[in-house]
Amino acid sequence: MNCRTLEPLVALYVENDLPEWERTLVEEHLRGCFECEILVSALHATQQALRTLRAQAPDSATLKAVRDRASTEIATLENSFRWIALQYLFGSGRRRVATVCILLFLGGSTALWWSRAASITEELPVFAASPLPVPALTEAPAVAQIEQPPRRTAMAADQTAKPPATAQPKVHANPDQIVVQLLVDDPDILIYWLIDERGE
Amino acid sequence: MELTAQDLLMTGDAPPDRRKVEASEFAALIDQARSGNRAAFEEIMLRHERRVLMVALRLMGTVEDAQDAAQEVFLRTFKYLPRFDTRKPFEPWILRMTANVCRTALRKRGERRSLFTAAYEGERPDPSRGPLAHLSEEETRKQVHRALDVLTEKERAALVLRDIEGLTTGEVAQILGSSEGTVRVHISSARLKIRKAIERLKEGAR
Repeated sequence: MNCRTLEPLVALYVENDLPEWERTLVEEHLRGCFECEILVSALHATQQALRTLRAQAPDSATLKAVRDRASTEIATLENSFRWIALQYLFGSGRRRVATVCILLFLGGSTALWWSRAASITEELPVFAASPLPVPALTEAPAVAQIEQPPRRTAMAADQTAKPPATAQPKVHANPDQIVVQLLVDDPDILIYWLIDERGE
Repeated sequence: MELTAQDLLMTGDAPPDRRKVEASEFAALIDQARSGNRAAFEEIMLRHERRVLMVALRLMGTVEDAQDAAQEVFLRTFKYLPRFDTRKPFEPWILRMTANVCRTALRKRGERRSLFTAAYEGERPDPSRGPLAHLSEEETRKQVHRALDVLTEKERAALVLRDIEGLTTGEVAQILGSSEGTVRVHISSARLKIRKAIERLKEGAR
């Protein structure tokens, strides 16, 4: 093995960074190579110079400045919303579990609400317009004297003499028949009935 | 090799029992800091500020940049301390963060070159001095700092942690997130480059 190939191993050899078999290889080479021995000495000197930097220490003012600046930054961070969110996401085990549970509950509730709202919309029946033609409202002198019909059911004409207290009849004229629509107080009840000219 | 909690404080010379006590004390300190105790966090900062700042200084080149980087490191430590696994050693964790912060800052800046030289601009090596062995400690430091300029980012990080900070190759690999083989390649090439750079500086001084 020539010196050029061995150079990288020699650089590791000086600090004992080689496995046993490579160290033996380098040592065997060094026994017969003066040039590589010089390289080892030069590398030892460089390593010694590097070690002098290890003793170098920053002065206390520099250290204090770093500490103060970091403390200020940390104090700002502690008051921010992002920090609170981070604490909950990466905080202690219990906090994390609680956060995940709350998020799951909220997510599940939203999904459930959304799916139910969608299904209700789908189930709603579509009503066609009423086929019953709505006749034009006209004056109806023929039935003007008709007494108000009973409130709840379509009863016979003779029974209409007993009027309910609040019913408001609307009368529609028609050549063949007359449609009487009875409006009652209850909005759910709408009564129509047909009578002819004779009142039957 | 997985480091144990006893390596937390890097107290290699302390007896094993003492190291265990210190490790458990430090783990308790981390727990306190996690639960919002600012005094405990300040104590953690005090214990690691020197190392963080020096590594940052050697990677960044100037004291101002190193201070900025160290500040960012402690801010990140505070943020991510709840995620730290106390069964693992703390120092490699914080040094890894330091290396990452410095790497990001250097890439943002995009002009790392010549910073070490700039730090000593105007100062010329004393020609009356002989080779490196005869230089004063301060002059040697300056020459080594200048020589660091020739290294690539990865070589410099590996060399700083292994040869200046005195960590093992395994620890350096753990901090830099590389394999031991890769770290050895970087260290070897960095040592050869540094040697050549120092020789050139010596020749220039003559």
